[in-house]
Amino acid sequence: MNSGNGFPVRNLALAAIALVALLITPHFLSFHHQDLLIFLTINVLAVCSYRLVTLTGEWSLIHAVMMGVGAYTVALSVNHFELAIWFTLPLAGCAAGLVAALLCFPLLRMTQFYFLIGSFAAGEAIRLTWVEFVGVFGGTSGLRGVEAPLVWGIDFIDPIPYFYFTLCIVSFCLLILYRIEHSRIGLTLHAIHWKTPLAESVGVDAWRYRALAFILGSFFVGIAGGLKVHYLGSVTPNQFTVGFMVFILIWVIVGGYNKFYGPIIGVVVLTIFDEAIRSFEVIRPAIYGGMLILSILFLPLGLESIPAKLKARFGKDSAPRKSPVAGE
Amino acid sequence: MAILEIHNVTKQFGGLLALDDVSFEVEEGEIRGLIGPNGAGKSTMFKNIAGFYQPTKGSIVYQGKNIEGKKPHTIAEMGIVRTFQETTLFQEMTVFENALVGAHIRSRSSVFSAVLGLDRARQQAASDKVLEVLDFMGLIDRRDQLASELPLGSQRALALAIALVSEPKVMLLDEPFAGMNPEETNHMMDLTRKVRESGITIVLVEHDMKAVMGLCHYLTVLNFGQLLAEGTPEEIRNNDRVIEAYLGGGG
Amino acid sequence: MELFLQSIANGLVQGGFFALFAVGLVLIFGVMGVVNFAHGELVMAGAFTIWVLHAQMGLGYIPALAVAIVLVTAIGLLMERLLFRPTRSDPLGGLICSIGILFILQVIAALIGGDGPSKQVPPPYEGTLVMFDSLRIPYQRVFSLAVSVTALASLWFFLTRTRLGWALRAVAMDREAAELQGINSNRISVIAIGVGTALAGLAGGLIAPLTNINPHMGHNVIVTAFIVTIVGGVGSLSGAVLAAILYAMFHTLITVYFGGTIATISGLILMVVVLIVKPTGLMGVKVSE
Repeated sequence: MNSGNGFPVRNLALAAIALVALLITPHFLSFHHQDLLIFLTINVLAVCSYRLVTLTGEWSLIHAVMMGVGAYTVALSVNHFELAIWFTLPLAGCAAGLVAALLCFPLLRMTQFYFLIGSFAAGEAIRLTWVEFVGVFGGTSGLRGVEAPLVWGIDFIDPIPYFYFTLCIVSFCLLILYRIEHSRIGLTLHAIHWKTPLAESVGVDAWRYRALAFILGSFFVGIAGGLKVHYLGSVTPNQFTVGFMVFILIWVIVGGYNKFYGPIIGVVVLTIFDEAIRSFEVIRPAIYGGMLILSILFLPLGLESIPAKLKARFGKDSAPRKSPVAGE
Repeated sequence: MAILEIHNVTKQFGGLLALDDVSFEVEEGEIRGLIGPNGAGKSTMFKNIAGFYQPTKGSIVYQGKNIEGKKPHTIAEMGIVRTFQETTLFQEMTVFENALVGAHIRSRSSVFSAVLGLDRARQQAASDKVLEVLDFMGLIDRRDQLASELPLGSQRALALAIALVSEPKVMLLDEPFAGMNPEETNHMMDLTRKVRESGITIVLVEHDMKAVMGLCHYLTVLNFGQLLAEGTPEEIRNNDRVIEAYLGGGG
Repeated sequence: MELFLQSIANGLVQGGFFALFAVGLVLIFGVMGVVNFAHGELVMAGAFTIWVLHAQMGLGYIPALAVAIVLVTAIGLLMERLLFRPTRSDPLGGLICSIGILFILQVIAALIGGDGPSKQVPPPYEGTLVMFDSLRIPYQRVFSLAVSVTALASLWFFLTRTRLGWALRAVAMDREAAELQGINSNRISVIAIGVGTALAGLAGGLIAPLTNINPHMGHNVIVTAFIVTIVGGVGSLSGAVLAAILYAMFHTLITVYFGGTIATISGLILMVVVLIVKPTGLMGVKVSE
């Protein structure tokens, strides 16, 4: 899709430095913050997979529950079948993807508002089955005792090895997501988003591509859910409520979603921010509520748009404008 | 050989009768004009042919196969592509990327091959085709420009290009000359002739009479959703009922 | 059989509540095109107002109810001016803003009421109406039902018999066409959200003596409102009312025999089924193209 640029060397150097920083950071953090770093990495996957879904312009409210589907799949497969992590993670993804595939038929007949509400309803219904069917899913207390994975002799009950493991898995998934977006499939998804009738007029089956985005997005967030439960050792329905779904929305909206890395900025900045306001437990939701509102009203393109805005204000206009599809 | 046959097509929207028992045939390789005063049902007819609407009654036959009721993307795959009334492009993409969407039918890949890069040959072929069409339409120099930055004439040419890349057999052009000055109109007429010479049948909805008279081999005239007359441009120009319809109906 | 009839009676009363807030949601969506995700919290705000003014401070129930309606309407008008009007062209943005308000309202309620167990408001009308020897309906519920019916009837009258009501429906059907006819759609939006949120406040005030009041009670409200709206047909007020009554009975009956969670799951599945089988709902108009 790009007319042939590779990454400039400067970007590569920055990326290398960032990578090194990322690898050594956990050793300097407290236990609590190491936990946080792991969850942050997992949430990056959650948020980037959500962006794939929204590329077609449809915003679902079921993504958090899909993460739960992955988590419960892992919990069940470890507790009942003692499957190793190499199996449980793909299984988690497949389970979420399968649920998504089934839901395509009712949900993708609708667009915009209806899809939003329908996905919300389906998500709630799934979540309530976890609450209701105590025998299988453990009800409100959920499932526990999911043993930490033991891979190559490394016991992943320690945060630092698990962080590296999570980082590898998430990076790999992000690579795939990135490749998808920058392939013809990504182009087609964007085309559907911007002018569905035009895309259809040249043979694009919009339904199929929406389904693809939805299923793939669910697959990857299912893996994220699996990673979460392998670390926490337990899963409850309350981890995947509307509240968490709203967090995903906040990360994506505040961070921006025109570029691949927008949501990553959102989740990183806001996780740090969240830590900083830890003491304001009671009013925290209100702060997030306010942030959402301010974001929509005053920074609709998200944090990712700030560098471009600054450059336009203060810098020289050197490079020709690149289209968002060919860009990051 | 009639490539497209419209048989007694009626389209009703609640109480509104947009098309009323319209029948006509389009020969392969011709440039057919579909004209009539505003509100005559011309665009509605296009939408019915291309699958964006389903006829309430009647049938549409393309290359001997019934296509009424099929989805737009299926009809596009079969070889009928339409353009849109207001300039409809993917504004946020470059000219090249816009046209590349048109290559969808001939060069789509599965997720696996896309991610693993296994479809390189097919993508390269698509790329080449796109460049070929852009060259054909005179847009090759603008290929990295954003669609939103193009002048009107180029935008229309791009809309044609997107459709052309999909290698259609029939193109339904919905008012491609709207808002053009005489110079742009002439250029567009040349492009249209070029497209037809490459073997594509064209049906044209248009109000610009110069373009219509200059391009079309045959005209089909609609008024108030009904077929009013058919004939060569000469015959239609002198047809009293047509003249009356335009003067009376506020075309 | 007694249980069945009792459930139907309770369902009818519940149906009144469901209708009040579902209709409000439909009104706001129909006229303004935005989904008010905070609608449940508006009901909650109404209920909380009753708790504060009537249960805690001793103000009479009816005056407290009036204040609740006014307060919630004020919140609604504020939301329209500050959030929905700037995001007119971006309904998704409007929806997200309403989610923001959802959280803010929940936090305000938590600060006012503290984190403890749910609050109770003792019913101002005591005693029970007994019908057919075995059917027992507390007067509080009879009162609620009567008020709900009156409110809905007034709304129906307003929408069908007054010019303002006609204007509202015109804007809901086709905003641009209505504007071309000289209707000030901004003013109509204000009226729509005023009425819609007033109904929510009323619902909250009526529910207050009959349920547990806590900052999160809005969640069930919005879920119910969505189900009822979809089943009734988005954009159809009469559909919403009909669906509200039917769904309330459906939900009550299933709750009695299988529990509340299963009832809600069934309701959600029902909603998805409706979306598949008849997306226009019971009485909605076709949303095509």
